[in-house]
Amino acid sequence: MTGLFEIYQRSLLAGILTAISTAIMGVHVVFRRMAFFGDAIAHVAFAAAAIGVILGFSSFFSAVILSVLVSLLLGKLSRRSVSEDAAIGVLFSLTMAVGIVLFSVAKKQRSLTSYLFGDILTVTKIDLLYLSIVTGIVILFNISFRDALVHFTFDEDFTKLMRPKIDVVYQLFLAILAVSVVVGVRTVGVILVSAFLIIPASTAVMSSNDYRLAFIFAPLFSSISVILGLFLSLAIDAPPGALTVLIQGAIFFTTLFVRR
Amino acid sequence: MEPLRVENVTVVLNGQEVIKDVSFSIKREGLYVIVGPNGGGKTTLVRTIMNLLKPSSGSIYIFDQPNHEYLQRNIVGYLPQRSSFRRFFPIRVYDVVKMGLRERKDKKDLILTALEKVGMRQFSQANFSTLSGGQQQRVLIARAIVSHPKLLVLDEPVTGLDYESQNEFYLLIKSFVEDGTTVLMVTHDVGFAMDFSDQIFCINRTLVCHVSAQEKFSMDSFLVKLYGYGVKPLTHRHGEGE
Repeated sequence: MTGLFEIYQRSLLAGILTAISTAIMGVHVVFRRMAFFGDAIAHVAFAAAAIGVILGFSSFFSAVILSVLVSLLLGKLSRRSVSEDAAIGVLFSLTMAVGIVLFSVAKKQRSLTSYLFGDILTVTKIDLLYLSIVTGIVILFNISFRDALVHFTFDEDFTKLMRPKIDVVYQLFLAILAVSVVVGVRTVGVILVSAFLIIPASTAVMSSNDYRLAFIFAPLFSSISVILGLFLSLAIDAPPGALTVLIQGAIFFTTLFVRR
Repeated sequence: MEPLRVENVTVVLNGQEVIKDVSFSIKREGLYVIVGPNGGGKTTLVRTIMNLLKPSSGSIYIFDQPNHEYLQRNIVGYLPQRSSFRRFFPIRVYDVVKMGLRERKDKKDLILTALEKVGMRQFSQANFSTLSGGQQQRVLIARAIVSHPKLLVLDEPVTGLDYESQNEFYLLIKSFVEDGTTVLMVTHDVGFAMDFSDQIFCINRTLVCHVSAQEKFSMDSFLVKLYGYGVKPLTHRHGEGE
């Protein structure tokens, strides 16, 4: 039987890996002002997982595939005259409705709750493997393309001129963002994953004069929040995901007031 | 070799013909200016020259090579419109200038020399967003010249700058021309265009006029050609009633 210590050890590792991958991608998300994008992908992942449950596929892989596809589609939409925020708004509510209906029809109320709020205390070794792979990909992507993508955000035309293949890097970014959100949904849930994406990154951007520092501070703030959240959850018997987000929020507001 | 040749270029955006059948060429180094009313297609033309937009018909040649081929192998210095970049972004001046180099290797001396030329070397470690509008434009010029391009394309570089910054900027541009760089600049400053440029191209959907420095022309007749009306000086008399 798995001991309590092992459960917390695994949860801690899962939480830190989620914190690292979402926070690093989150810095790009905050720079590009696409905060709702992560939310939309999380909701798509929720609907895709429900489809997976109904059809008997792996809910993880169906979520990965559908989320990547939708993410690339949204990326294309944002470059056309179609309003991106309206498209996200429609998608956001529709996929949520699809997910709730399908989970209810499949009588998987437990899955519904675990997708909505995550279940960091029940992560398996397979979940940890996925998280490690995704975190590795996020780090590798950023080692290779961080500067190019940041430059693209800062000045799109000039970066296109200097790096004609930058669009490929951007598509790759959208796909990796979708996968990191899907993996994050497993540990912290649909509702809270966007907090993991946005709050530590916003705090880091606020406290850095140089974008490079933001990519160091964001995963650091998020990992500290996960560690404190998990220990606090042991102490007061409250959900670790929500406690982590509360700590992230506390760090955000403290930074905001200290800066002023 | 001709620095630039634009042949019968038409650009259609969202089903609308933004520029139609524009042709002109720059035969030798110097300062060339594009003027025209808002929405006349100046920026569209510049973005098409820089291969950021594809023409629906026509061709563009830079130093006798199709623009897309030239731009793949060489760098044309480019200063986009001020609205195209994020003014408030946590990026150092040094990194902004580094964007103008294709090599991933850090060429510190090139970057610092470019900043020196525009009088911004002492700000190399400063946050770009803390600089004034004029200083930011200088940094972006340093980015455009860091790789020593033979052709420099500037899209409304002085828009939003105060009078003093505009003058400083013009002196900088003239120094590049004196050093042998060909400069193509979009501006609304018709006075500057008439005083300092070698040729003026007037764009209002199509090429409506083409004036060289040798031609004698009056500001009034020039504006009639460009905008369809002349200059009506505004007068204000003190002491007169409403």
